[in-house]
Amino acid sequence: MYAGIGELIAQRSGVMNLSIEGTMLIGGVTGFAVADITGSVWLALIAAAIAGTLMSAILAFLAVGLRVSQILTGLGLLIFGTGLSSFFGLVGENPIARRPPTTSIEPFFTGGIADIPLLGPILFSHDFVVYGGWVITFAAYVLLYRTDWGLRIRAVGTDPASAEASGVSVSWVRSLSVLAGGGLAGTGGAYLSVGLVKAWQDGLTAGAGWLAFAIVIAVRWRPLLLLAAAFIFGASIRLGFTLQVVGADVSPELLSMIPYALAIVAVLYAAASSSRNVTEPKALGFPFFREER
Amino acid sequence: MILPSNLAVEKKVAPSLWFSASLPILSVLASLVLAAVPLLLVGESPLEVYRVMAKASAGSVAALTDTLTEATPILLTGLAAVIAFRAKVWNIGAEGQLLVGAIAAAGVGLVLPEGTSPLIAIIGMMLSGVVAGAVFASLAAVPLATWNANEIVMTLMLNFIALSFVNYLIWGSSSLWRDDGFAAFPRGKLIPEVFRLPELTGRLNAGFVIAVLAAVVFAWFMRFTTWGYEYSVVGDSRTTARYAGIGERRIVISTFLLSGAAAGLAGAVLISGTVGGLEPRSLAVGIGFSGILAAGLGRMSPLGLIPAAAFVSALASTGPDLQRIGVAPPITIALQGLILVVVAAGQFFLEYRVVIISKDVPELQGKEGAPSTTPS
Amino acid sequence: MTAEPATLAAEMTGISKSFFGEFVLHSVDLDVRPGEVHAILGENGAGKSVLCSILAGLYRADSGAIEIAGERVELHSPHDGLAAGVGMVYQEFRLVDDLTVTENVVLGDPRNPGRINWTEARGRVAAAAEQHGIDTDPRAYVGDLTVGEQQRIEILKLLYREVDLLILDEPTAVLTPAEVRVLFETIEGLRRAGHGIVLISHKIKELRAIADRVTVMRLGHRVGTFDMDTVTDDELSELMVGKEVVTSEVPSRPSAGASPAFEVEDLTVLGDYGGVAVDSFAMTVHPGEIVGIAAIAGNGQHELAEALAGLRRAASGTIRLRISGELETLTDITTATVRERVEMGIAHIPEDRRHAGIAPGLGVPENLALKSYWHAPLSKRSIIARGAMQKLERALRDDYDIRGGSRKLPASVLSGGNIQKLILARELSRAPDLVIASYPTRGLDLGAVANVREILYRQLDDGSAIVLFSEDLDELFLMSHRLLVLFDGKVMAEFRHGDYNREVIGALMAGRSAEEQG
Repeated sequence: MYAGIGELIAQRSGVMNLSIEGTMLIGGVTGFAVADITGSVWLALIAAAIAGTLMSAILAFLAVGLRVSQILTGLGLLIFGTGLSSFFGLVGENPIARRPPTTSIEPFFTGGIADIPLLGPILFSHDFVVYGGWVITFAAYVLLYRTDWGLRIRAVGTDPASAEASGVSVSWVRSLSVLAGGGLAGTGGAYLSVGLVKAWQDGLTAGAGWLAFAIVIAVRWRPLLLLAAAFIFGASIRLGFTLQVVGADVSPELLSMIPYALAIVAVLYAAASSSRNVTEPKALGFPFFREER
Repeated sequence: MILPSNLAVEKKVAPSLWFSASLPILSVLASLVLAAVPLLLVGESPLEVYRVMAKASAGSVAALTDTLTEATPILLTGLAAVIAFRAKVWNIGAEGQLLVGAIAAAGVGLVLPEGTSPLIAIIGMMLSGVVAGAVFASLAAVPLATWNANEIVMTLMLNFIALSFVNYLIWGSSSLWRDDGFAAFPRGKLIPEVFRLPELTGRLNAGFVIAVLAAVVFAWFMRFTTWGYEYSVVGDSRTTARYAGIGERRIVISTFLLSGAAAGLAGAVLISGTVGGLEPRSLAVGIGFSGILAAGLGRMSPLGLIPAAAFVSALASTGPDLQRIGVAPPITIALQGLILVVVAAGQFFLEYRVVIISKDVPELQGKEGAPSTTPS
Repeated sequence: MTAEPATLAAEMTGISKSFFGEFVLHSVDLDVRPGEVHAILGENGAGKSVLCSILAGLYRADSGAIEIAGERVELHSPHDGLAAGVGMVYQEFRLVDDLTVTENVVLGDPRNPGRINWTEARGRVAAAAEQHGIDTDPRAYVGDLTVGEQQRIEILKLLYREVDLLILDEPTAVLTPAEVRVLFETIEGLRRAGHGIVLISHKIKELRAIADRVTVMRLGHRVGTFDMDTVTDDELSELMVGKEVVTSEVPSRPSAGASPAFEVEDLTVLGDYGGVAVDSFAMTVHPGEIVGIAAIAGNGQHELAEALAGLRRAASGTIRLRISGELETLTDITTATVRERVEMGIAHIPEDRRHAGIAPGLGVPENLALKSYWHAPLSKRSIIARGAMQKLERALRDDYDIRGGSRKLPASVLSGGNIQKLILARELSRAPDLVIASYPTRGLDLGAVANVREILYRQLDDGSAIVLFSEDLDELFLMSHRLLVLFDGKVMAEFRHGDYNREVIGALMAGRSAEEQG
């Protein structure tokens, strides 16, 4: 979800960040290493955010500053991030890839409230990072639709020439959006390594970044819908585990396809319906196509 | 652009041909310098690492043939990327198309009776790989042409689906492709030895020839057929293609299918060549992305791709030797990414130049962080 | 020159600018006083818009100095321009269609609070609109507004940003006469309030009504600056076009009684958003005849040209062409594809020559082959003959005097005039029966304009029929045997060469009949 919101902001400003998976991995390894050394979850998340921002600074400089291909740069950074995270994971006598976690993220609510049947597990059983994600989604909504910056981001994403003529610096808005997106993706990666998996392993994100990328396009850049979609996709991943636990006779390999297949259906649906329905709110246009210069 | 205020960026009239040709080499050198940073951070000597890498990939005849062997599938997925990207069709699903091609080729290899003529069997496997890759690509090509559905997302998601499916065939079911001999730790069943591509020298097999041929044929196709001409126009300007009455949709779809076919062929060459069976751990190792890297390094030229693929393969195949001197192999992956980034960045210097604006008054005023994008 | 007031609203000295190595401005000076309307007059391609874009900060000059309100400034972006109090309404509006009026007006304003209260913002925008007498709905999406309304929003936006100097680039080109009157009232009000106004135009008559001074430009040079009272229309006109030898010879007429080469009946074409763009259009063109289409931008001529070329489907009606060799019969080509029409002998000189007319990244030979590559000698059985392509290039370069570029370089390096000659060479060397020419001389320098007209006249002698779209009434008057006036997709009237009357046709283009005009 962090990664999704990050990507959404970047794309709304008209930049496609394909390196998101690599950024998450860098965030993941940084976060885990920092948690390992300092024992502080907070420091881990902050360090991961900084690492993610640094990664996307390269993208911002190249794709926005030098205007070179966002696709090639993004893919290059993706490969770079994958390799570098794996490299750092294996460094030293006792590489962190083989270490147990020294710290983890505790549920935010303890006792009472989390024990309420049904509602408890759904709403109150999570750690603060999850609640942070909800908050950030709403914050992104407010940012985009209720602030000066959001207005600039939306304008730059749909019509950079007009935005520039209005005195908005297209490069500046895009760069900052990409940086923010990278920071969020880094945080998302750290949450995976420190919070969920509680270990560092190669390719830990297993396509989560790509899924985030797909969801952003499938929900057609609407932050609140992204929240809903993130739940659905989370549930579809869970569905696999649940079915196995129940003992259904379906192979886990097939079940692991569900989120990706779902993403394809969602993207197809969004694409097919958008070409039929031109009365849709135009503010949610295609930042992605306009960016081509 | 955030530049000092007396500098401005200007579009070049035409790129310098000399610079265009030397860009890949400059990029590689720049990347090697940049990659020294993480190496120094963990206390390794970059020079030593690069020396080992050079030796491992090209230090002996055996090393060299190994490098070319590994270059074969990269050359084909690179061709897939070149074909698609030149037409501005963003197929990044070579990984998945390769896997599906491998499934089909392995299927054919396993089904045919062992007495079949090896030539026919090999041709059958190659063809099935090509067709399967193209069909799998059509799952993204048709929605792109019909609804303008984002092909990047589609091909990416299809990559994951293809991988899950291969895993399912080997681990999750008792399919034709699975070797039940290792029940606890299942593997892909090997095709009969006679159906393997003949080896030329060392491990290098005829697949390399097929791959080089494919690149050369495509280069010829592009330059000397009407399809190739239409393809160049579509890649250059879709508006012009429409104006000239070139069926844009037809070109986009055929490009996408051809791209998928090249990736599918890569899968078939692996099955019939070095891998021998549907083995996820040997097939799904990022060859699709290495292909994109090779395409970028070869500056999207089908012929430039050939040395570029060899170079990428050289980088990728040095892992074990690095391990021996105690350096974590993934640094080569990071290096690959870095090279792609730097090559992409190099495009800037091909298309633009930085000029110094002459001024009547030397002192600078109005320092704004605000950049000036100058549409031209 | 009259005595200068204490502070000029803006002063530009020695401004030069080149694009792609071609000079578009040669050391141009300009000064604007507060409370005056300063017109910049010149032909297309004279450098008017570029000069003003530099003053607004959109482009950077290669050399020269700018002072605004007495202060020397460095403008790196429109942001700097606005901060210095200069704003420009570009010819192609710079409004974000997908945002509302309010969002567009406040976009980029440094005074915006971090968090915007939209109710309050709407209030402020409405108040500003009220104050300047501009009628608007702050909630409407800009994309839904008419062109005239959008222009008012552009002006409102600049006033909201409190600029002292407004630049309007060809503001009347897209307006109906009634809207022009409203615009001029607004400008008058701004002048009285002490704003400096720069008005770009190529229409002398219009400037009479509103301008105080005028700077005439020609081919990137400043010819001179005059008080409007001291200079006559004829003098201005001569200054603007220079000592041009006007090729006034009327092209040869079609022989009497010749049967039509091209017929359109009851043609209806839809626009991009499904509305009717061309409504029951009809015309007939004879061999050796030029029929001109006169219309203000956005009245269906774009869609009409596309429909004739086969790029846009006809919703109803018929299009018929006499294919050479077949003497008296017309072939129905209403549903023919672009490629089929090319084969039948239709040539098309497109509006956007750089992005539709050529494939900018391919070489000159490839571009010349664009409409014939599928035939021998350029290809046989789908195999391209490179040698034949190069032979074609050598022949056409000579015939049509295409200069610049080389076999290895992309066609985009050619100048505008040479790109147009390349397109003409490709289209006309196929001996077409019908030529659809959209804005064939737009933005070209005078030499190239004469050249292009010459080539088109030559084509008439060979018996082609020509449909000419142009935004330049003088060109239409000069070149067309007959002229159709198009308004809102409908034909308002037809005129013959010799009967052309600027006032009457101008009124019709604006949707009013001659009687109404009074």
